[in-house]
Amino acid sequence: MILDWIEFLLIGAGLSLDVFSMIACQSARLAKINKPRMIVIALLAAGWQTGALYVGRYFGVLLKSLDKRPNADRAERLIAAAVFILMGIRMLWKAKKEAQIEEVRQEKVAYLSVIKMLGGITLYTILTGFAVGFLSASLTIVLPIIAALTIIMIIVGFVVGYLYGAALKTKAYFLGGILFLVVSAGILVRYVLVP
Amino acid sequence: MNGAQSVDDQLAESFKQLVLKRPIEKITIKEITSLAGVIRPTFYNHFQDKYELLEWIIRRDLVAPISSMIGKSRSDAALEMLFSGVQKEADFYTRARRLEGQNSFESIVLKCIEDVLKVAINGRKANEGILATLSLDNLVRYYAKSMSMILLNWIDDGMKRSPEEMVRLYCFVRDHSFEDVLKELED
Repeated sequence: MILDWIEFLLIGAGLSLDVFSMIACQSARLAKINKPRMIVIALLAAGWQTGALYVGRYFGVLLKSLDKRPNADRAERLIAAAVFILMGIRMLWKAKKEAQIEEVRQEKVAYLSVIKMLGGITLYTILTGFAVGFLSASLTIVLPIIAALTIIMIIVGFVVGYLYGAALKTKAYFLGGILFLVVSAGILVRYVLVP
Repeated sequence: MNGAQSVDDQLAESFKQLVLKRPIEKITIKEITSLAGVIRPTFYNHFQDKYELLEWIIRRDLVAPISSMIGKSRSDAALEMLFSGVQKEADFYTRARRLEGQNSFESIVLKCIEDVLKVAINGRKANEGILATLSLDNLVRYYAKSMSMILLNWIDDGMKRSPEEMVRLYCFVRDHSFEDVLKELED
Protein backbone atom coordinates (compact mmCIF):
# COMPACT_ATOMS: atom_id res chain seq x y z
CA MET A 1 0.00 0.00 0.00
CA ILE A 2 1.41 3.34 -1.06
CA LEU A 3 -0.37 5.63 1.34
CA ASP A 4 -0.30 5.34 5.10
CA TRP A 5 -3.30 5.97 7.34
CA ILE A 6 -2.28 9.57 8.03
CA GLU A 7 -2.48 10.34 4.32
CA PHE A 8 -5.91 8.69 4.17
CA LEU A 9 -6.95 10.94 7.02
CA LEU A 10 -5.72 14.00 5.12
CA ILE A 11 -7.57 12.93 1.96
CA GLY A 12 -10.69 12.21 3.99
CA ALA A 13 -10.41 15.54 5.77
CA GLY A 14 -9.95 17.36 2.46
CA LEU A 15 -13.10 15.77 1.02
CA SER A 16 -15.04 16.36 4.23
CA LEU A 17 -14.11 20.04 4.43
CA ASP A 18 -15.84 20.47 1.09
CA VAL A 19 -19.00 18.99 2.59
CA PHE A 20 -18.52 21.06 5.78
CA SER A 21 -18.45 24.31 3.80
CA MET A 22 -21.59 23.47 1.87
CA ILE A 23 -23.60 22.45 4.91
CA ALA A 24 -22.40 25.48 6.94
CA CYS A 25 -23.88 27.73 4.24
CA GLN A 26 -27.22 25.92 4.56
CA SER A 27 -27.19 25.90 8.33
CA ALA A 28 -26.40 29.64 8.41
CA ARG A 29 -30.03 30.21 7.41
CA LEU A 30 -31.61 28.17 10.20
CA ALA A 31 -33.46 29.60 13.20
CA LYS A 32 -33.13 26.22 14.90
CA ILE A 33 -31.27 22.95 14.22
CA ASN A 34 -33.49 19.90 13.90
CA LYS A 35 -31.21 17.24 15.40
CA PRO A 36 -32.89 14.13 13.88
CA ARG A 37 -32.77 15.77 10.44
CA MET A 38 -29.12 16.66 10.97
CA ILE A 39 -28.30 13.02 11.78
CA VAL A 40 -30.18 11.78 8.71
CA ILE A 41 -28.31 14.27 6.52
CA ALA A 42 -24.98 13.20 8.06
CA LEU A 43 -25.72 9.54 7.31
CA LEU A 44 -26.98 10.37 3.82
CA ALA A 45 -23.81 12.35 3.06
CA ALA A 46 -21.56 9.63 4.52
CA GLY A 47 -23.28 6.98 2.42
CA TRP A 48 -23.11 9.13 -0.70
CA GLN A 49 -19.43 10.01 -0.29
CA THR A 50 -18.33 6.45 0.51
CA GLY A 51 -20.37 5.18 -2.43
CA ALA A 52 -18.78 7.68 -4.81
CA LEU A 53 -15.32 6.92 -3.47
CA TYR A 54 -15.94 3.18 -3.81
CA VAL A 55 -17.01 3.63 -7.45
CA GLY A 56 -13.92 5.71 -8.21
CA ARG A 57 -11.62 3.29 -6.44
CA TYR A 58 -13.20 0.34 -8.28
CA PHE A 59 -12.37 1.87 -11.67
CA GLY A 60 -8.92 2.89 -10.46
CA VAL A 61 -8.12 -0.66 -9.38
CA LEU A 62 -9.64 -2.05 -12.59
CA LEU A 63 -7.55 0.21 -14.80
CA LYS A 64 -4.46 -0.57 -12.75
CA SER A 65 -4.99 -4.31 -13.22
CA LEU A 66 -5.28 -3.87 -17.00
CA ASP A 67 -2.09 -1.85 -17.30
CA LYS A 68 0.78 -4.33 -17.75
CA ARG A 69 3.48 -1.86 -18.79
CA PRO A 70 6.84 -2.09 -16.96
CA ASN A 71 6.69 1.47 -15.52
CA ALA A 72 2.97 1.42 -14.91
CA ASP A 73 3.30 1.96 -11.14
CA ARG A 74 5.23 5.21 -11.58
CA ALA A 75 2.72 6.55 -14.14
CA GLU A 76 -0.22 5.61 -11.90
CA ARG A 77 1.29 7.39 -8.91
CA LEU A 78 1.92 10.45 -11.05
CA ILE A 79 -1.72 10.43 -12.17
CA ALA A 80 -2.89 10.02 -8.57
CA ALA A 81 -0.69 12.94 -7.49
CA ALA A 82 -2.09 15.00 -10.39
CA VAL A 83 -5.66 14.24 -9.25
CA PHE A 84 -4.85 15.43 -5.72
CA ILE A 85 -3.19 18.56 -7.10
CA LEU A 86 -6.35 19.22 -9.13
CA MET A 87 -8.48 18.73 -6.01
CA GLY A 88 -6.20 21.06 -4.06
CA ILE A 89 -6.31 23.77 -6.70
CA ARG A 90 -10.08 23.45 -6.96
CA MET A 91 -10.56 23.99 -3.24
CA LEU A 92 -8.09 26.88 -3.10
CA TRP A 93 -9.96 28.48 -6.00
CA LYS A 94 -13.24 28.09 -4.10
CA ALA A 95 -11.60 29.72 -1.07
CA LYS A 96 -10.45 32.63 -3.23
CA LYS A 97 -13.88 33.09 -4.83
CA GLU A 98 -15.37 33.89 -1.39
CA ALA A 99 -18.93 34.20 -2.66
CA GLN A 100 -21.18 35.68 0.01
CA ILE A 101 -24.34 33.74 0.75
CA GLU A 102 -27.75 35.37 1.16
CA GLU A 103 -28.61 34.95 4.81
CA VAL A 104 -32.37 34.47 4.57
CA ARG A 105 -34.18 32.40 7.17
CA GLN A 106 -35.22 28.92 6.13
CA GLU A 107 -37.13 26.49 8.28
CA LYS A 108 -35.03 23.42 7.50
CA VAL A 109 -32.26 22.07 5.32
CA ALA A 110 -34.14 20.22 2.60
CA TYR A 111 -32.98 16.70 1.73
CA LEU A 112 -33.25 17.59 -1.94
CA SER A 113 -30.86 20.52 -1.57
CA VAL A 114 -28.39 18.23 0.26
CA ILE A 115 -28.60 15.71 -2.59
CA LYS A 116 -28.02 18.50 -5.12
CA MET A 117 -25.00 19.68 -3.12
CA LEU A 118 -23.57 16.20 -2.94
CA GLY A 119 -24.31 15.68 -6.63
CA GLY A 120 -22.21 18.75 -7.36
CA ILE A 121 -19.11 17.23 -5.75
CA THR A 122 -19.66 13.59 -6.76
CA LEU A 123 -17.34 13.81 -9.77
CA TYR A 124 -14.50 15.05 -7.55
CA THR A 125 -15.10 12.32 -4.98
CA ILE A 126 -15.09 9.69 -7.75
CA LEU A 127 -11.83 11.15 -9.10
CA THR A 128 -10.34 10.97 -5.62
CA GLY A 129 -11.48 7.35 -5.37
CA PHE A 130 -9.89 6.71 -8.74
CA ALA A 131 -6.57 8.06 -7.46
CA VAL A 132 -6.90 6.08 -4.25
CA GLY A 133 -7.48 2.94 -6.37
CA PHE A 134 -4.32 3.66 -8.36
CA LEU A 135 -2.43 3.78 -5.07
CA SER A 136 -3.76 0.36 -4.03
CA ALA A 137 -5.53 1.72 -0.97
CA SER A 138 -7.36 -0.78 1.17
CA LEU A 139 -11.14 -0.44 1.31
CA THR A 140 -11.20 -1.43 4.96
CA ILE A 141 -9.13 1.65 5.79
CA VAL A 142 -10.41 4.20 3.28
CA LEU A 143 -14.17 3.79 3.52
CA PRO A 144 -14.55 3.97 7.32
CA ILE A 145 -12.29 7.02 7.43
CA ILE A 146 -14.35 8.80 4.76
CA ALA A 147 -17.65 7.81 6.39
CA ALA A 148 -16.58 8.89 9.88
CA LEU A 149 -15.06 12.18 8.79
CA THR A 150 -18.10 13.03 6.65
CA ILE A 151 -20.47 12.45 9.57
CA ILE A 152 -18.30 14.51 11.91
CA MET A 153 -17.94 17.37 9.41
CA ILE A 154 -21.67 17.47 8.66
CA ILE A 155 -22.48 17.83 12.36
CA VAL A 156 -19.70 20.36 12.91
CA GLY A 157 -20.81 22.23 9.78
CA PHE A 158 -24.38 22.42 11.05
CA VAL A 159 -23.31 23.84 14.40
CA VAL A 160 -20.68 26.23 13.03
CA GLY A 161 -23.00 27.56 10.32
CA TYR A 162 -25.84 27.99 12.83
CA LEU A 163 -23.70 29.85 15.38
CA TYR A 164 -21.25 31.74 13.19
CA GLY A 165 -22.76 31.87 9.71
CA ALA A 166 -20.83 30.94 6.60
CA ALA A 167 -17.74 32.97 7.45
CA LEU A 168 -15.56 29.91 8.11
CA LYS A 169 -16.20 28.30 4.74
CA THR A 170 -13.34 30.21 3.13
CA LYS A 171 -10.91 28.91 5.75
CA ALA A 172 -12.33 25.38 5.34
CA TYR A 173 -11.84 25.42 1.58
CA PHE A 174 -8.32 26.79 2.02
CA LEU A 175 -7.41 24.10 4.54
CA GLY A 176 -8.91 21.37 2.35
CA GLY A 177 -6.89 22.60 -0.60
CA ILE A 178 -3.67 22.58 1.40
CA LEU A 179 -4.34 19.06 2.67
CA PHE A 180 -4.72 17.71 -0.88
CA LEU A 181 -1.57 19.49 -2.01
CA VAL A 182 0.37 18.07 0.97
CA VAL A 183 -0.72 14.52 0.06
CA SER A 184 0.20 15.02 -3.60
CA ALA A 185 3.61 16.43 -2.61
CA GLY A 186 4.23 13.37 -0.43
CA ILE A 187 3.43 11.02 -3.32
CA LEU A 188 5.56 12.96 -5.79
CA VAL A 189 8.55 13.12 -3.46
CA ARG A 190 8.43 9.51 -2.31
CA TYR A 191 7.42 7.63 -5.46
CA VAL A 192 7.77 9.78 -8.56
CA LEU A 193 10.59 12.29 -8.31
CA VAL A 194 12.99 10.00 -6.45
CA PRO A 195 14.50 7.51 -8.89
CA MET B 1 -43.94 41.82 24.39
CA ASN B 2 -41.41 44.20 25.97
CA GLY B 3 -38.63 41.58 25.97
CA ALA B 4 -39.06 40.86 22.25
CA GLN B 5 -39.32 44.54 21.36
CA SER B 6 -36.09 45.39 23.14
CA VAL B 7 -34.23 42.71 21.17
CA ASP B 8 -35.64 44.19 17.94
CA ASP B 9 -34.39 47.61 19.02
CA GLN B 10 -30.99 46.21 19.94
CA LEU B 11 -30.64 44.55 16.53
CA ALA B 12 -31.80 47.75 14.83
CA GLU B 13 -29.26 49.95 16.64
CA SER B 14 -26.51 47.44 15.97
CA PHE B 15 -27.44 47.35 12.27
CA LYS B 16 -27.45 51.15 12.05
CA GLN B 17 -23.94 51.31 13.53
CA LEU B 18 -22.68 48.72 11.05
CA VAL B 19 -24.25 50.51 8.08
CA LEU B 20 -22.17 53.57 8.95
CA LYS B 21 -19.03 51.47 8.50
CA ARG B 22 -19.73 49.12 5.55
CA PRO B 23 -22.16 48.51 2.68
CA ILE B 24 -25.33 46.69 3.67
CA GLU B 25 -24.53 43.86 1.23
CA LYS B 26 -21.35 43.08 3.18
CA ILE B 27 -22.92 43.10 6.64
CA THR B 28 -23.45 39.62 8.09
CA ILE B 29 -26.03 38.51 10.61
CA LYS B 30 -23.23 37.39 12.91
CA GLU B 31 -21.90 40.97 12.97
CA ILE B 32 -25.35 42.38 13.74
CA THR B 33 -25.99 39.94 16.58
CA SER B 34 -22.47 40.22 18.04
CA LEU B 35 -22.77 43.99 18.30
CA ALA B 36 -26.28 43.64 19.75
CA GLY B 37 -25.00 41.17 22.34
CA VAL B 38 -27.20 38.24 21.34
CA ILE B 39 -26.41 34.87 19.78
CA ARG B 40 -26.71 34.56 16.02
CA PRO B 41 -29.81 32.35 15.81
CA THR B 42 -31.77 34.97 17.80
CA PHE B 43 -31.85 37.14 14.70
CA TYR B 44 -34.07 34.69 12.83
CA ASN B 45 -36.57 34.67 15.68
CA HIS B 46 -37.19 38.35 14.91
CA PHE B 47 -36.41 38.95 11.25
CA GLN B 48 -36.28 36.96 8.04
CA ASP B 49 -33.11 38.70 6.84
CA LYS B 50 -31.28 42.02 7.16
CA TYR B 51 -33.55 43.64 4.53
CA GLU B 52 -36.57 42.94 6.71
CA LEU B 53 -34.66 44.57 9.57
CA LEU B 54 -34.05 47.65 7.41
CA GLU B 55 -37.75 47.77 6.56
CA TRP B 56 -38.59 47.48 10.27
CA ILE B 57 -36.30 50.44 11.03
CA ILE B 58 -37.95 52.56 8.33
CA ARG B 59 -41.41 51.69 9.60
CA ARG B 60 -40.47 52.35 13.25
CA ASP B 61 -38.53 55.57 12.72
CA LEU B 62 -40.15 57.18 9.70
CA VAL B 63 -43.58 55.71 9.00
CA ALA B 64 -45.06 55.05 12.45
CA PRO B 65 -44.76 58.70 13.60
CA ILE B 66 -46.71 59.95 10.56
CA SER B 67 -49.25 57.20 9.97
CA SER B 68 -51.94 58.82 12.11
CA MET B 69 -51.48 62.13 10.28
CA ILE B 70 -52.10 60.82 6.74
CA GLY B 71 -55.67 61.28 5.57
CA LYS B 72 -56.55 63.72 8.37
CA SER B 73 -55.72 66.88 6.40
CA ARG B 74 -52.22 66.75 7.81
CA SER B 75 -50.50 64.95 4.95
CA ASP B 76 -48.16 67.86 4.24
CA ALA B 77 -47.07 68.00 7.88
CA ALA B 78 -46.62 64.22 7.76
CA LEU B 79 -44.40 64.52 4.71
CA GLU B 80 -42.29 67.20 6.42
CA MET B 81 -41.91 64.93 9.44
CA LEU B 82 -40.83 62.12 7.11
CA PHE B 83 -38.12 64.29 5.57
CA SER B 84 -37.03 65.51 9.01
CA GLY B 85 -36.79 61.93 10.23
CA VAL B 86 -34.48 61.06 7.36
CA GLN B 87 -32.42 64.21 7.90
CA LYS B 88 -32.00 63.35 11.59
CA GLU B 89 -30.10 60.21 10.58
CA ALA B 90 -28.68 61.52 7.34
CA ASP B 91 -25.55 59.35 7.40
CA PHE B 92 -27.50 56.14 7.86
CA TYR B 93 -30.07 56.84 5.16
CA THR B 94 -27.48 58.15 2.71
CA ARG B 95 -25.62 54.86 2.99
CA ALA B 96 -28.78 52.75 3.00
CA ARG B 97 -29.83 54.54 -0.20
CA ARG B 98 -26.95 52.80 -1.99
CA LEU B 99 -28.66 49.43 -1.54
CA GLU B 100 -29.66 48.17 -4.98
CA GLY B 101 -31.13 45.05 -6.49
CA GLN B 102 -34.07 42.90 -5.44
CA ASN B 103 -34.17 44.35 -1.91
CA SER B 104 -33.24 47.90 -2.85
CA PHE B 105 -33.74 50.80 -0.45
CA GLU B 106 -35.99 52.35 -3.08
CA SER B 107 -38.33 49.35 -3.17
CA ILE B 108 -38.49 49.16 0.64
CA VAL B 109 -39.29 52.88 1.00
CA LEU B 110 -41.94 52.65 -1.73
CA LYS B 111 -43.57 49.66 -0.01
CA CYS B 112 -43.63 51.41 3.36
CA ILE B 113 -45.19 54.61 1.96
CA GLU B 114 -47.71 52.60 -0.08
CA ASP B 115 -48.75 50.69 3.02
CA VAL B 116 -49.38 53.84 5.05
CA LEU B 117 -51.44 55.37 2.21
CA LYS B 118 -53.44 52.14 1.86
CA VAL B 119 -54.27 52.22 5.56
CA ALA B 120 -55.51 55.81 5.16
CA ILE B 121 -57.71 54.83 2.21
CA ASN B 122 -58.86 51.56 3.76
CA GLY B 123 -62.60 51.01 3.80
CA ARG B 124 -63.33 54.04 1.67
CA LYS B 125 -64.70 53.88 -1.85
CA ALA B 126 -65.93 56.24 -4.50
CA ASN B 127 -69.56 55.81 -5.47
CA GLU B 128 -69.52 58.16 -8.40
CA GLY B 129 -67.29 60.43 -10.43
CA ILE B 130 -63.92 59.70 -11.92
CA LEU B 131 -62.60 58.02 -8.77
CA ALA B 132 -65.23 55.34 -9.17
CA THR B 133 -63.57 54.26 -12.42
CA LEU B 134 -60.01 54.35 -11.06
CA SER B 135 -58.24 51.51 -9.31
CA LEU B 136 -57.53 52.84 -5.81
CA ASP B 137 -54.48 50.59 -5.59
CA ASN B 138 -53.00 52.24 -8.69
CA LEU B 139 -53.83 55.66 -7.33
CA VAL B 140 -52.10 54.87 -4.03
CA ARG B 141 -49.09 53.60 -5.97
CA TYR B 142 -48.95 56.80 -8.01
CA TYR B 143 -48.85 59.00 -4.90
CA ALA B 144 -46.46 56.67 -3.11
CA LYS B 145 -44.08 56.67 -6.08
CA SER B 146 -44.13 60.45 -6.33
CA MET B 147 -43.42 60.84 -2.61
CA SER B 148 -40.65 58.25 -2.59
CA MET B 149 -39.13 59.67 -5.77
CA ILE B 150 -38.82 63.13 -4.29
CA LEU B 151 -37.45 61.71 -1.03
CA LEU B 152 -34.84 59.57 -2.78
CA ASN B 153 -33.74 62.37 -5.11
CA TRP B 154 -33.34 64.61 -2.07
CA ILE B 155 -31.11 62.00 -0.41
CA ASP B 156 -29.12 61.59 -3.65
CA ASP B 157 -28.69 65.36 -3.77
CA GLY B 158 -27.08 65.38 -0.31
CA MET B 159 -30.20 66.73 1.46
CA LYS B 160 -29.17 70.27 0.55
CA ARG B 161 -32.68 71.72 0.86
CA SER B 162 -34.60 71.81 4.13
CA PRO B 163 -37.55 69.47 4.75
CA GLU B 164 -39.93 72.47 4.59
CA GLU B 165 -38.59 73.46 1.17
CA MET B 166 -38.93 69.90 -0.09
CA VAL B 167 -42.55 69.70 1.03
CA ARG B 168 -43.29 73.04 -0.70
CA LEU B 169 -41.67 71.64 -3.84
CA TYR B 170 -43.66 68.44 -3.66
CA CYS B 171 -46.93 70.29 -3.04
CA PHE B 172 -46.29 72.55 -6.01
CA VAL B 173 -45.75 69.60 -8.35
CA ARG B 174 -48.67 67.70 -6.85
CA ASP B 175 -51.08 70.63 -7.13
CA HIS B 176 -50.12 71.90 -10.60
CA SER B 177 -50.50 70.30 -14.02
CA PHE B 178 -47.70 70.19 -16.57
CA GLU B 179 -49.52 72.91 -18.51
CA ASP B 180 -49.49 75.11 -15.42
CA VAL B 181 -45.73 74.59 -15.20
CA LEU B 182 -45.26 75.51 -18.86
CA LYS B 183 -47.27 78.69 -18.34
CA GLU B 184 -45.05 79.58 -15.38
CA LEU B 185 -41.89 79.02 -17.37
CA GLU B 186 -40.71 81.84 -19.57
CA ASP B 187 -40.05 81.22 -23.25
